[in-house]
Amino acid sequence: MAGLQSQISPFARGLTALFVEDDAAGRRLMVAQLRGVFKELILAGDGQEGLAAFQARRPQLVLTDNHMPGLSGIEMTEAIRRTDARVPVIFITSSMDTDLLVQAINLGIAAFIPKPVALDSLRQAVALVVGMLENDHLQRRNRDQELALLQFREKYHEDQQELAFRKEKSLLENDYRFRAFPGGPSARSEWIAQVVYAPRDIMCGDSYSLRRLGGGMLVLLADAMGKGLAAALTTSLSAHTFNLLADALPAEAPFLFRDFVRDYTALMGRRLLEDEVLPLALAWLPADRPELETAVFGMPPILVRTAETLAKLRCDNPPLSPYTERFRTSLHDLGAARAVLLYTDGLNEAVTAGGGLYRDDLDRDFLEAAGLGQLWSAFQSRVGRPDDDVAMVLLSRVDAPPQWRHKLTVPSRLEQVEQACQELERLLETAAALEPVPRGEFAMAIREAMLNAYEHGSLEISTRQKMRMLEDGVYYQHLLDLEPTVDRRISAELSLQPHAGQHLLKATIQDEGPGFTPPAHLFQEEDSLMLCGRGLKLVKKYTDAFYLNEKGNTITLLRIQSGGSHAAGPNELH
Amino acid sequence: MQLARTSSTELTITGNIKTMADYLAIRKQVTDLVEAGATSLTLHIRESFSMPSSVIGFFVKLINRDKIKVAMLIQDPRLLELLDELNLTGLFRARPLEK
Repeated sequence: MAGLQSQISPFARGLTALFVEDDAAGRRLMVAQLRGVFKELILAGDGQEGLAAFQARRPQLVLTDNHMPGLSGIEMTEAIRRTDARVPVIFITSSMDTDLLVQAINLGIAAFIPKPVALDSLRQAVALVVGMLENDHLQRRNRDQELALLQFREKYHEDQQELAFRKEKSLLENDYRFRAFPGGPSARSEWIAQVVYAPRDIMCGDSYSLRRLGGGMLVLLADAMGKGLAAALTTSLSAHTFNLLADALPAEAPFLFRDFVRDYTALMGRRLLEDEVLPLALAWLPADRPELETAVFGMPPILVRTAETLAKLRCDNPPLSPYTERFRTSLHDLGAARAVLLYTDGLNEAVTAGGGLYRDDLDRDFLEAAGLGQLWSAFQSRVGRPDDDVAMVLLSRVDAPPQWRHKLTVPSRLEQVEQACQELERLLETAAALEPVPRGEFAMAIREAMLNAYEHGSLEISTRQKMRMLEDGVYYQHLLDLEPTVDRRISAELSLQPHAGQHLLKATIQDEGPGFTPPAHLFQEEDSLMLCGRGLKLVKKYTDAFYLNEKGNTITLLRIQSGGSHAAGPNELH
Repeated sequence: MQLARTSSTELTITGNIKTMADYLAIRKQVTDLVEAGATSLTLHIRESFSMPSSVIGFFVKLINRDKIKVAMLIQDPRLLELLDELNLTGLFRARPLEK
């Protein structure tokens, strides 16, 4: 008798089948007919044995007789369906009454073969079921391939966005990242600028730039329409245009804010699509007078905090559009101001956990926060993860008359530098009444700054020289050898001043060396192989802010003393 | 800071690591152990919440140039966090020390 092997899809040769038949002669006949069709044909002599074989071997299809002692074919199929709803079953029976047919259909029997089994019926039934299995297999494989392709595309797009975001971030400028800003006629007048830049997705629809022009500070904060890639393109363009214009200004000419706004809006307006608008804020703080000049286009109000009050500087203009022809600017007195906050609507329009808008909490949080870290923490505790990009710029005065001040000066000798560090730490404990945790952390920051002043300032050892000597194990001895040849002093001043209802600890360390300019990439990459260069990282970690003077030989460390332990600033703080 | 040598390859540091004297003491003890033949070192660091950059630099050199295997068992989570931020957890094989 000819077998079915050549008439059934070769796909069957990868399948295992179970054949259940109590009649030995019937089994032999079927084995002969199905020889070579499947990878394996498991045989069982009754329903019970068939069920056990199914559970043990999990074949891909089942052929079964119905009338068998013990479990019938139908009963065995019922038992199989309790654990496997999909395996196709071919039913072989000599009688097919209506009840049995309904039962079989309800059990999802894939095909029927009447007894006695004709070769053609067997071929048709097996071909049908193998075809179903092959289709399933192909569909599953296609789905898997599509899924893999989707995953690949998603990863590809994500990588592309990461690269694009690096580029986007590179367009952001902050000339005041490590510098204080005078912002007033007094020599003691001192402001710091802090930025939060928190994209919702990878790319950011917000951008900022803080530029130093003739000693004054020019600020841009832009919030392009929508989110994602399109918004990121517009906002990147806005930052780039702003920086190009700022860079092109002649250094010797007086800065005219209104002219800058005119040129900037004309250039940017030309680049917007006909239905596109761009909310943005431009602000100018001259170095020699406590003033703020603004040109705000469709942005939330700028908040100004004095010692006791909060003022809201309303928007001057609608959002910038290709049709903008005129604009207004306004001038505000900052004589009594202690802090100024510019922000995009991702902040005030964020939905809080209670279902309200953060704008209802912003005024209070801004009044109570003594720094950007505290404000950002308050925002995050109310909102969690915002649904929009958020960018904000906080300008804070850090020049209040101190409640106490202590200054010491030591020669550039390691032993005396160490003694000075210990004295400053004692002051943190006694005069500032700091708890052990903030005391230890701020003392560590001061110690690192003092050692920087000693090594890199007074002794003028470069990072490269230090690295080489550390590798050779001669660095410490080199310090001791070099000390007597240097006649430079290091001074440290520690003070405590009131600050937004809390206190601000200020440590200013000055050396008589040539000064230091922080590299642009500072803090952007961690290199675990570097033997040195981590002092400023520790300073950053244990302070709320720090900045250098123009020459780079004086560093000022700030730490807000709020009574509790210090919470490290968010990663988004720039 | 107190420094105790607990075996030919183990040091226990108690108290805060902060001064130049602390750095010199750690450097001397570690160098002594290495000169006596130790090729791997385990440091049990109790209590210290930070590590001065000079101490960090010394261990980076010890691991990368001198090829000494260093493991740090650290009690204070703030120090673990600091090393993680500085991308040093793997290099220092830093892990928590049970109290």
